[in-house]
Formats: sequence, C-alpha cells, structure tokens
Amino acid sequence: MALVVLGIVITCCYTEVQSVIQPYTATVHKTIPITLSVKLHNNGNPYKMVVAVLLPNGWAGSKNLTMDYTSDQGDKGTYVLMPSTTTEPSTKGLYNWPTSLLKTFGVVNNYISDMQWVVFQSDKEYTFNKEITVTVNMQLTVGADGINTNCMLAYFIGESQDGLHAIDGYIDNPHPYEYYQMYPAPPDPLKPNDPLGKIGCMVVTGGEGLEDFCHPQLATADPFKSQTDDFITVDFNGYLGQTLLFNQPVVYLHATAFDEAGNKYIVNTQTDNNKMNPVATNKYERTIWPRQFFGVPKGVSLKTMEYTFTDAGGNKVTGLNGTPTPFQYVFRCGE
Amino acid sequence: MKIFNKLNCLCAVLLILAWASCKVEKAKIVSESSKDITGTWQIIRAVRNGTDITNAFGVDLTPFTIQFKGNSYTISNRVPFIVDTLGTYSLDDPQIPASITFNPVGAKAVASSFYYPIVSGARNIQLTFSANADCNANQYIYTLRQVNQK
Repeated sequence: MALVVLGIVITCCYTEVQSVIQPYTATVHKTIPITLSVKLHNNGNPYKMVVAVLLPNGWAGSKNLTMDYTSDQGDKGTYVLMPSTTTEPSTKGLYNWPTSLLKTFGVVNNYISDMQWVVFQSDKEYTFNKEITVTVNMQLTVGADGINTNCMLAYFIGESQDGLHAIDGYIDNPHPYEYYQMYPAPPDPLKPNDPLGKIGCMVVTGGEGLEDFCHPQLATADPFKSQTDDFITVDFNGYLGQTLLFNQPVVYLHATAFDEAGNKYIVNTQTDNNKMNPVATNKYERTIWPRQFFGVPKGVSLKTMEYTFTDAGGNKVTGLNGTPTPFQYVFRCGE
Repeated sequence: MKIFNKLNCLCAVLLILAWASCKVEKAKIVSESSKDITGTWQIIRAVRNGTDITNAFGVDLTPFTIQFKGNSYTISNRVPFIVDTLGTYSLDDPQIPASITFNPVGAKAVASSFYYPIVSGARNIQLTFSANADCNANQYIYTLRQVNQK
C-alpha cells in the first residue's frame, strides 16, 4: 500500500522593518519627525504592536516622544506609553519591557550606557492572518537636558503577546525576524562617507557641554549625571591610543573638585586611595564616592571636577586627547 | 456461617465507632505576624542603575551598618545611602510592609519600597532609593542582611 505523506507548510509570522527615516542633525529642545515602515505577518492571534526607541536618558523620552500609526488595511491610531509595571512576556514576570530590552540589546552601538529604551504599544489590539504594512510616525523633542549630544538611536518592533520570544521555526523565508526586530539607526543617506554619517550618528547642538555616545572616549565617568553622594565609576581607556600611559604598569587618578563656594579639593599624589584597577590591557577603572574621595564636609556639594591620569611617578600626566589638559566633569542632577 | 455473620456485625460496629470518633477540624485563621527588623544590618549587595557595584574597585561597603532599635535607627561608617544621619523610621504596614519611611534628624523624611524576602533561611531587606536628596537621577538598590547571618 502506497503511503502518501502530505506536507503541511505553515506560513506565518515575521516582522520586518522596511525603512527608517530620521534626521541626523538637530537642535536641543526642538522636535524632529521620525518615520518607520514595517511589514508584519501574524497568525490571527490578537496582539498590540510594540514600538520602542533607544534614547539618551537626558532626553526624558517618556515625556518627549509621541507616535501614531496608519496601516495599508486602513487602521489608524496612536501608541501609548507601556506601563512600567507590564512585564515583558519572555521574562515570565521578572522584568518590565524597558529593563528586558536593555538587558537584551544594551545600548546597541553606543559607547556610553546613559540610555534607556522608551517603550510604547498600540492603543488597540489587532488580529490579522496575512502581511500588512504599518507606518509609524514619531515626534521626538531632543536634548531636554540642554546638553549637546552625539548618539545613535535604535528602534524595536515587537508585539505584546510574545515579547522577546525565541525563534521557534515558523519564519517565512526570506524574512529573518519572527516575533520582533531590533533595528539600529541606519547610516545617513546624505553623508554615507562622513565618519559620523556612516555610523548613523545624530548630532544635536545648540546646548552646552557634550555627551558623545558615538565615539569611544579616552576617559569616562559613569553615571554621566551624578552628585557628591553618588558612586561614580571612572574609566581610562588607554587602549585607544598611544598616550604617555600606554603599557604603563600602574595608573593613578589625579583630580581636583570645586564646591559651590569655589573651594578646591585636590587629590594629586599616588596612593592606594587613587590607584586605578587594570580591567583589561591598557584599560583601567576605579569607582569613587566623591565626598569620601575628596574629603568634602557634610552639607557641602561639589559643582565640578577635573581629572587626569598619571603613572607611578606622577610625571606622565594624561588628559584630553592625550594632552595634560584635564577632562571635565560637571556634577548635575539628570532628568 | 454464623461465625462469618458475627464477624460482619463486629466490623460494622467498629466502622460506626471509628466514624463517630472523627471530629471535623475547624480551619484556624492564622494572622500574619508583625515584621520586626530590630538589629544591626549590613549591605551585602549594591546595584546602581542596574549595574552591580558591590565589589567595584574602590567601593568598600563592608564597614557600613544600620541598627534598628524600637522606632529609631543609627548609621555607622556612612556610605551613599538613603539617609546620612540617625533618626526614626516606620513601616507602612507592620504585618505586610511594602514601604519604609526614614525620618532623619535635621532632614526631610524619605521613603523606600521595602522588600523583605527570606533568602537561604534568613531575612534580607531590599531598599530602593536615590542617594542624593532632591535628585532621582540615579537609582540604587541595596540588599541588607543582619550581621552574623551567613
């Protein structure tokens, strides 16, 4: 008896960002438009579409980002902020959406961690069992903290039922993404050969200082916004260039802090209290509590700090761009 | 046959006696005990903005303690914390606390969520706070355990 086997092909389920159109220059406190075009294919289970954007913390995205949608099926509506208490389904109640996206994707291509995923979901549930195209229109007010910024945005498209569900095989070739897609900002189509353009870096000006997420920094202080009674982690990334401290066996942190009255607090010797810890070849790190590190009296707040790195003898002073000019840090409260 | 019938009757009587001796146990309502955090507590874990900094180079949390006694607390060997001076405290609900409010001497009251799980047989206290008054830029989560508990 011939046995006839019927092959059942299950066609379902993919997410595919078709395009992202965003500006690559902006001015602090101004609003920019961002448009995403996304193809979705579902299997008829109802869900809300989830859209998230990776933004600097200082931009306070939950207050400064709005978005709405239309589809080729005639749907239209707005996205609403995902409640912070709503857990991302794949974590089984452990993490909310912003935390889960940060743990999964980090800050993508950016070099500073001072960022967050701002998560929205569609105002209505949708049920469809075919391919549809959704257009997401965003309005983003950049630079709420008034600080000049170079940063690379990133986008996430998913849905409320499955979240970061692992791929389970029901993908339609050639669509590689099933339940969700994370899409870093594409290169600037107008400046594909520009050093910032080709990495999709957005340059925001018109403010003060600079928080540069787009380039590795010779030194960083994390959190970017902190105060006298925070723990601040200072990194010296000596691997980035041939500074005076390249391949030095020991590196120390020299720093001078200024309080609001203009008093100075100086750390400029080489002891265990300011020695940096090697965490990789030519990369050093130390976490300080400024009040303790500088001996600041209770009730006094620091305003700024300038710092350099040096060798055991205190002679190879290394600051901005490898020169003796100190790095600057402003103590501030963020958004 | 007669012996069999007598055995049957005996079994029936024993069954009836056994059934009659059963008493219905009334369900007891057990009330939640009040949570007592009296004692000296130390920090066993510190997280800043989602990053574990407990053993970060340059951080030493081991000398720090907070002692709760009655409705007062004292701090020794200060580190960045929800409060920086002694004072009084209260739990929002003594039986099922969800938050703790500190009233430091000479400063504003400040509250934290209060998570009190049993971990490896001992109570932990988990506090979530900003270490600088009037600024919520950075979030810290400290896990405390009573001194001398492993």
